[in-house]
Amino acid sequence: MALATNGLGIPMKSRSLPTIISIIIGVIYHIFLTYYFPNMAFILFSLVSYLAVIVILNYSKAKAIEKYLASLNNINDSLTNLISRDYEKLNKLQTLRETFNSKINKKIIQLSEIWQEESLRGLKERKNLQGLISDVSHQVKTPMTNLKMLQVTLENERISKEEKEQILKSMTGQIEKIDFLLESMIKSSRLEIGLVQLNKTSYFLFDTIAEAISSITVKASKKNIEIFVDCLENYQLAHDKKWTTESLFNILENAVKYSPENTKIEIKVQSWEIYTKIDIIDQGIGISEELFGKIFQRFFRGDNNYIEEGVGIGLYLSREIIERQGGYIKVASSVGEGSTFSIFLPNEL
Amino acid sequence: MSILEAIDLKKYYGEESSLVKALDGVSLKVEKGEFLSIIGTSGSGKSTLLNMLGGLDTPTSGKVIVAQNDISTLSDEELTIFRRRNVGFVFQNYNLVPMLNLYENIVLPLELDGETIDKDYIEEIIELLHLGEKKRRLPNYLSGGEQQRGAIARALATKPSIILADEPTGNLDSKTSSEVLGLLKKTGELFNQTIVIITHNNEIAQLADRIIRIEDGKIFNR
Repeated sequence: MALATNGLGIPMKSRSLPTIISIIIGVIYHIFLTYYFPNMAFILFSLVSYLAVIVILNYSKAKAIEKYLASLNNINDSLTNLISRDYEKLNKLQTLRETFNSKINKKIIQLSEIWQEESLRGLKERKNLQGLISDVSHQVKTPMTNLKMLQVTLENERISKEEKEQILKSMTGQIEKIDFLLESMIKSSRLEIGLVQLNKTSYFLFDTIAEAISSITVKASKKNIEIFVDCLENYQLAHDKKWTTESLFNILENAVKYSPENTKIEIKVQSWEIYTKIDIIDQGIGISEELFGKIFQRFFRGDNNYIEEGVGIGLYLSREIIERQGGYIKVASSVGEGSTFSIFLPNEL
Repeated sequence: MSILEAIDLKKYYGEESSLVKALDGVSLKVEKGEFLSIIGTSGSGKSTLLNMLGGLDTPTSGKVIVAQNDISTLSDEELTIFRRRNVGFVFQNYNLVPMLNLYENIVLPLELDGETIDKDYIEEIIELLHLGEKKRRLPNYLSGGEQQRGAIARALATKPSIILADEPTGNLDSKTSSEVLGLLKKTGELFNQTIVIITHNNEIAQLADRIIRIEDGKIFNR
């Protein structure tokens, strides 16, 4: 089979029709010539040369076909390797020549990389989820232990009424903490797993900012922190209203949390060429430069904020929300002077 | 899986008394899909490092391994093909060809490799980088930010797995810098590319997943 068709259905040995026709024409031509040129030696020489040329042409054609078939066979082998996911063999393919084969090899390797990538991505997602679950259990453990201890104390009959009230109050605090934790976890996990689809629609950005501020005013006014907004009321921007509010709220909440009393927070909106920039400027304790990248990580908490309660999920969520909308977040800050969080959202859909 | 690895890279210039150590034993690994920024003052050796990662310069000693290829073993011709098919470069001064319009500049690397142009993909990156209305213009009629976005589009055209950018925002104001980098980050995520940028600007470095500081030819851990 290998000889007859080379496995590809192309006959290798059989004479093709044009070759046979050209031989017949050549012979007829030479028979015809003998009538006019009686020199037999010359005619014979001409006939032999003619046949030789045909043989040579035929041979080189066969060679060329063989070369192309070898090429195709290579591709076929590579595809077999690709199907059996033999990445080691694939990576050894020659890709650095100016040849057609080399170009195809490069593409085959790319394809294998894409496949590997996809299977890796699945693994990563699973790992992410595992991380989230272990984070959740870790974070919930402390308040749970506290609750158990308080409950045991409560079962003691000899405690006074005041003590009892005190304990119940602590228990409420712990339950609230668990509630808050779970709420944040659910939000972040839903975002992470991709259950939440962000819907970007054109809204007045001012309204979104106002909504975020309205949920923080109580906390802000307790510390006598004033919030100023510099944004055109009729400025429209495509964004997901609900989740962007959440993102803004988280940053504002942090700003209020880490600002001393009687300070102010400014929100400034600027329209740039490609992005709209929303600055949230506070006069709080600030963040040192080496923490700029870390504050957006899940469950990151600064060293000096043990006084303030929180779990370190707010900024992580904020960034996730903004990045899901094709934007990005930056922070600029100097310790003791305040921080500026800048949100960038794309102007177009 | 690391896509880019430097092993004990050294680059020395001059002899004995006038020996300059541009790079002095730098080792680093870049994971696939990572956005890494390398910061350092001018003369710290960061550009030398990037040039070696991209095969534009050869080290005095040490190895650079890109996608499992040791690029120091390649011949000049192989290296050229290697760069064209695997790496997209973005330079501080854009390096657009002044006689070609923006679109022609963007598809130039494809034409050099004799590839058919994937028009839908090219249009997609042009739209992503907000260059739709500018694509028939010559580079001289574009702003710095537009030229750099064009250079990024050109680097993306061949769908390389790695983008190397040397001070991509060095000639841009802070506002344009931020926008260009934001777009670079976005396209990197979209096309799952590994990006290494060199900068001396802390604020820009922030957008990366990881920051490496280089001082006097060495990696400076912090």
